[in-house]
Amino acid sequence: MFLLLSAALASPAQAADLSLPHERYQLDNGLTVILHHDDSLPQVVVDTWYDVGSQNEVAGRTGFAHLFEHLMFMGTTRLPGSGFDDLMEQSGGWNNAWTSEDATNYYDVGPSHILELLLWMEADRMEGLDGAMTQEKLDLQRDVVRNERRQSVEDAPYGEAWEALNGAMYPADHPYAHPVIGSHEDLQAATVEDVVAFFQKYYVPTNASLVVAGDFDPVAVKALIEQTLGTVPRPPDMVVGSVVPDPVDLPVTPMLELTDEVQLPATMLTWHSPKVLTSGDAAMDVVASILGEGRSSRLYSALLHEQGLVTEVQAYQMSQELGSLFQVFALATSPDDDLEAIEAAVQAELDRLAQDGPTEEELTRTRNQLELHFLRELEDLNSRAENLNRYLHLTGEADYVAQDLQRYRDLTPDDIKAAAAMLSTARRQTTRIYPAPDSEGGEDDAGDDTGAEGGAQ
Amino acid sequence: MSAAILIPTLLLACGPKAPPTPVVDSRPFDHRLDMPEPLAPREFQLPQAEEATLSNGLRVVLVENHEVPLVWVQVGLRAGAWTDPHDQPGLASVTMDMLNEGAAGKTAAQLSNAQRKLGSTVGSSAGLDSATVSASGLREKLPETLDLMVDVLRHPDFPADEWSLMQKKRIQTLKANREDPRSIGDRVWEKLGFGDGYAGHQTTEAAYQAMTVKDMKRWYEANVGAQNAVVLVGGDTTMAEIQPLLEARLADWGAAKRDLVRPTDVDEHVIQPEATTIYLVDKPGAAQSVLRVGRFVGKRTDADAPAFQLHNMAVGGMFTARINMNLREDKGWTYGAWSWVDSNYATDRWQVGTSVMTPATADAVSEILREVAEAGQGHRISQAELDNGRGYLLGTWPLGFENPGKLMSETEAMWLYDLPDDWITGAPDRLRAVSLGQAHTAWDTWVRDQPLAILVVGDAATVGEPLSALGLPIVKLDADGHPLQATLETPQ
Repeated sequence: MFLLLSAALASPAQAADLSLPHERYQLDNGLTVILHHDDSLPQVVVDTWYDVGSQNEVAGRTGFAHLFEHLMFMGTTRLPGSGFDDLMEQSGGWNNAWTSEDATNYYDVGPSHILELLLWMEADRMEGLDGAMTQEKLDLQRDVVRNERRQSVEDAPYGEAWEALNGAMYPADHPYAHPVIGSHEDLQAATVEDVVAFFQKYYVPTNASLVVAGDFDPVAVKALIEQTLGTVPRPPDMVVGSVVPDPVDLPVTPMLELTDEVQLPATMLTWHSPKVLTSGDAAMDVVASILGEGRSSRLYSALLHEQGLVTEVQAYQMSQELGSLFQVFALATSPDDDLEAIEAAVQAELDRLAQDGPTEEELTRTRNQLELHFLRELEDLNSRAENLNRYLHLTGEADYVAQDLQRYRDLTPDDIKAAAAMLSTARRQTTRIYPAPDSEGGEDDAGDDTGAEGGAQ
Repeated sequence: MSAAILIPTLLLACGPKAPPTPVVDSRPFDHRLDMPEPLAPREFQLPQAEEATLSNGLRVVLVENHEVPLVWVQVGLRAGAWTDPHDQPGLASVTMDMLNEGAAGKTAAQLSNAQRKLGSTVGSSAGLDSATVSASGLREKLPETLDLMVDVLRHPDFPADEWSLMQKKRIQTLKANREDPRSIGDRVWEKLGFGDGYAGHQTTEAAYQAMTVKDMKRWYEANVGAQNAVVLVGGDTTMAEIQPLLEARLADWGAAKRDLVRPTDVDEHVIQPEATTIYLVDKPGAAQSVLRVGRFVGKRTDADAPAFQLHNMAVGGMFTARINMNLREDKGWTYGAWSWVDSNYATDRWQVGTSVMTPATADAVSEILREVAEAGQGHRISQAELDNGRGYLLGTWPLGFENPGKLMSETEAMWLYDLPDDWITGAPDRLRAVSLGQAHTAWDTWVRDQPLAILVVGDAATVGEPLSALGLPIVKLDADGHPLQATLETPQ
C-alpha cells in the first residue's frame, strides 16, 4: 500500500483515528482520576496535575509556585527528609516536575510492581506536606531555586531578554506580568506561613487530577487509588477565585534595548496572540511554521539565504491559558549589524503572507509535519499521561487529541492569511539585545537586580 | 461515604505515625499509614532485534514496534571527528552536516520541502566516534522517505553557497560558545583530557575559514561507504518489508576509500593528571562557576567496570547520591551535581560535574574532594547504598526499551566499539553479580588516592583567592584551554 507522491499530499490516513483511551472517574474527596491502560512494558506512570501556576502568585511573591514545587520533595511527617526520592530511586523509579504560568505537574515513572508505592507517596505528600514544613527546608530550596535562576537566566546567553519579556508584554497587575522563575528578592521574602497557606489552598484533591498510565490490573488499581489518594481529606468547599484578566492586545513597553554577555546582537519581536485552543491559535502555529521552521521557511529563505541579514531566525507561537505570545527571534551576523533592517525584513515577510496567504504546498507540508508531531506525542507513555492531564485541564475532556488535530486539518488558506494579517497590523514589542561593551571587564550585569520583570524558565 | 474519609483523618490527628520503613507489628496493615511493600517485578522481555545482510554485505538490524505507524532508519558510519586531518578540525562534522544541504540536484530548500511534504525528517551529523544519516516518517511514506535519505547519503552535492552560509554560522557559534560558561567548560575539559588529540582536537575560526567543499568531498569519499556502515531500523515495519526496499537502494552502494575503521592511537592522547591541580578559566561577572573534577579510569569492558558503575551511582550517579545530597540538598549551592563515566574509544573518563553559585566555588571544590576521599577511606559506601544504586539501574532498565531508539543505539555501540555479544542482554546480570567488596575494590583501583584534574570556569576575581587557599596548584587557562603566561602558582 505504498502511495504515490500525489497521494502523499493528502493527510496521512493512519493518523486519522488518534485517541487516548481512558477511564475517568472522581473520588469522593473530589480528586479526578484517569486510568490509561497499556501493558506492552512492565512500567507505570503516575502523573499528578495541580491547577496552580505562577499566574496565581500574589504581589511580592513571584517565583513562589515553582519554589513550592521544589518543596514537594522535601519530606513529610511520615516520610521525612529525602525519603520520597530515596524510595523512588532504590525501587527503580524516577521522577520530575515542572511549573508553568498555568499549572504544576509532577510525574513518577517506574516498574509496574512499585505502583502502590508511587500512589502512597503521592497521597502522603498531598495530604501532609504542610505539617512537616520548616524554615530550614524553605531556606534550602530557596537557595537551590536561586541557583536554578542563575543557571537558566543570568548565565544563559540572551537570558536577560527572556527575563524582561513578560513585564514588557503585560501590565503589572496581569497574572503573566512576571516570569515563572521569579525575582531573587521575592524568593527571599517567602515565609513558612506562605508555604502552608499555598498548600492548603491549592494542593487539595479538588484542585488536582491524577493520571495512572501503563501496566496495572484495571480492577485492583481502583482499590489501590481509593486506599491511598482516596483517603486524603476533601477540603472545605471554597472558591479558588481565579479571576480571568481582561485580554491584553498591546505591549506595555513597545521597545526595550538591553545589553548581555553575548557576541552578536539579536532582536526579539513579540505579539499578543490568541489563547491556547481558541480560534486563531492553530493558525498561529502554522504561520510560525511557514515563517520560521526549516530551510524552506520564508524567513530562512529571505533573511538568511537571500539577504544574508541573520545567522539564525525562528518563529513560534507560545500558547497559554490567559493569553498567548507569538514571537520571532533573529540573530544578527556581526556585532555592528543594523537590527532595524532585520526587523523591517521580518515585517515585510509578515506583510507578504498577510497579503497573499500561504501556498498550497506550504499548507500541506505544515499540516503533515503537525500530523507527525501528534503521533510522536503519543509514542511515550509518559507523554500520553501528561497530555491526558493537560487536555482535561484545558478542555474538560482528557482525550481531546483528535479534536486538537482536527483544528489544524480544518485550516484554510484564508485562516492563515487572517492570522498573518493580525500580526502584520498589530503593535508588536521589540527587544534588542546588544553585546555588553565591556564583556571582558570586571564586575557587571550578572547581578541579582535586573529591574525589569519578565521571561521564561 | 464520608465516614471512609473521616476515620483516617482522626487517625492522622492522634494516631501513631509509621516510620518510613515497612511496619512489622501486630497492627493490621493500614494502606494509608503504612508504606506498601513492592510486589515481585513482572518478567521483562527485551525486544528482539532481527538481522539481515544485503547482497553487498551491508548489515541490517531491525527492532519492530507497532504502537504508532512510524519508522526510523539510521545508517551508522565508522567515521567521526577522530578522522579529522590534523589541520582540519571539524571536517567530519561539517561534511556530514553538508550532506543535507544539497543532494541529487536538489537544493537545501528543496530537500527540506520534500521532507516536510511527506511529514518525514532526514538528518545527518557526525560525533566524535561515528557519523549518522537518519530518516523517520510514516510507515506509508517509507519508500519516499528512504529515497530522500539515500539521496543525502549517496549523492551529496556540497553546494559552495550553502557552505559559505554554514561557515559563517559555525564561526559565530564558536564565538558564542566562548561566552557561555558551560560550553567553555565542555571544551576545556576535553582539552585537559586529550591535549590537541582526539576529543581535544577542536574547531577553530582559522580551520573553518580555510575549509573548502573540496576538502569535504575528499573526506566523504574516504569515509562514507558500505563496508564502513550498518543500517538500523526501528518501528512499524517488518524485515520482509524493509529488506527489499533497502536492497533496491543500497545493494549497489560501494566501499569507501579508507580501510582504517577505528582509531588505534587514542589512548596515546590521554592526559592523566599527575598531581591534583585546579585549572581556572576566568569568566568575569559569572553568577555561577562551572566545575568538573575527574580522571581517566578503565574500559567499560573491564571486569571491574560494573562494580565501578555501581559505586559511582552511590557517589554521584543519581539524585539521592552523596554529592547531590551534599551540594544541593544540604548546602543549597547548586541546582544539581552529578558524576558519570564517559565511554568512547579512549579509556573511560570518570567525572563530577556541576554549576555552583560563585561565592561557594572553593567550598564546593573542597566538598567534592572530601566526598571522593571519604568514599575511599572513612565513609565507604554501604551495602544499602550499593543496593539503592542497583535497584535504580535495574528498575529503570526496561523503561528505556519503550521505543526502538535505545536498542538501536546500543546495537550501534556494540558494532562501533566491538562490544561482546551479551553486552545488552547480560547487563542486568552483570549488575546483580557485584558485591560490596568488588565495588570498593573498583573504586580503590581507579580513583582512591589518585590525582584529579579540577576545572573551574568562573569569576576569577571572586573565586581566585578562596581557591588558592585550598593549597592546590592553580593553572590559569584561556577560554580555549590554552595556559596563560606565568600563571603557575606553587602551593606554599
